[in-house]
Amino acid sequence: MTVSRGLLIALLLVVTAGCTPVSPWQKREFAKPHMAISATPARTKFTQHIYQSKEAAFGGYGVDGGGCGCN
Amino acid sequence: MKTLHRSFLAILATVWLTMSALNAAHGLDVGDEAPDFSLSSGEKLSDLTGTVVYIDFWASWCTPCLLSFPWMERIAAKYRTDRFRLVTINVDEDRADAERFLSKTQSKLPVVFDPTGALPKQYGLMTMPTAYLIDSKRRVASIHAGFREGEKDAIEQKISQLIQEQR
Repeated sequence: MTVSRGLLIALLLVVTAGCTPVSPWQKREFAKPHMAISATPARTKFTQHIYQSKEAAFGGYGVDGGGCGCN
Repeated sequence: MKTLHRSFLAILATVWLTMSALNAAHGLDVGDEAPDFSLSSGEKLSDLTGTVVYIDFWASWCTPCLLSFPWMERIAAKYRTDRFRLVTINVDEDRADAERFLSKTQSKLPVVFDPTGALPKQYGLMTMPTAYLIDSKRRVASIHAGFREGEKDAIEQKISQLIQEQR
């Protein structure tokens, strides 16, 4: 039980070490085309327009500002 | 199974708490004093007391920033008075990227280069681009996160209104 608890703590430490917020001005890498979710942004924008009008769901596909989360 | 479940929840809670703590940084609000910095002209922002200042943070990789430049050029030309100044702050780590962007947009706007990101950190930027409209007393009059075609007129109206108020 002590071993598994120790393992759990170690795992938590490892997991939290990977947590770091990326500041908006550091998102250059995300803006590169190969980081975008879609390879065809124009088509995705068109599809998103349909979703937006039918479901009021909007954004999150890296269409407007590449993958940098701009705007 | 129960232990696994608990472990999973503990991991989720730890990640959530860590991320919350890391994201707790708070930016400028309307009414706050704008942090001082040196402009490309050699002046400081604090020297411009009595002037309305539009400060725009941009980067070469930010698509909406590309859209904002022609509009900012127009605004800078239209309100070219002693009572208004438009300042842009570039946050590219590599200055060559910024220079390429500027030659592509043929911009003549004044640029402060901040490759270390010290200024956006001080201003507490939440998205790219972000613009701060600073009144004549160096207080934040409004904050414009992002740049959308539909918001241009409203921003211009605020600038114009603030300049009028300084008269």
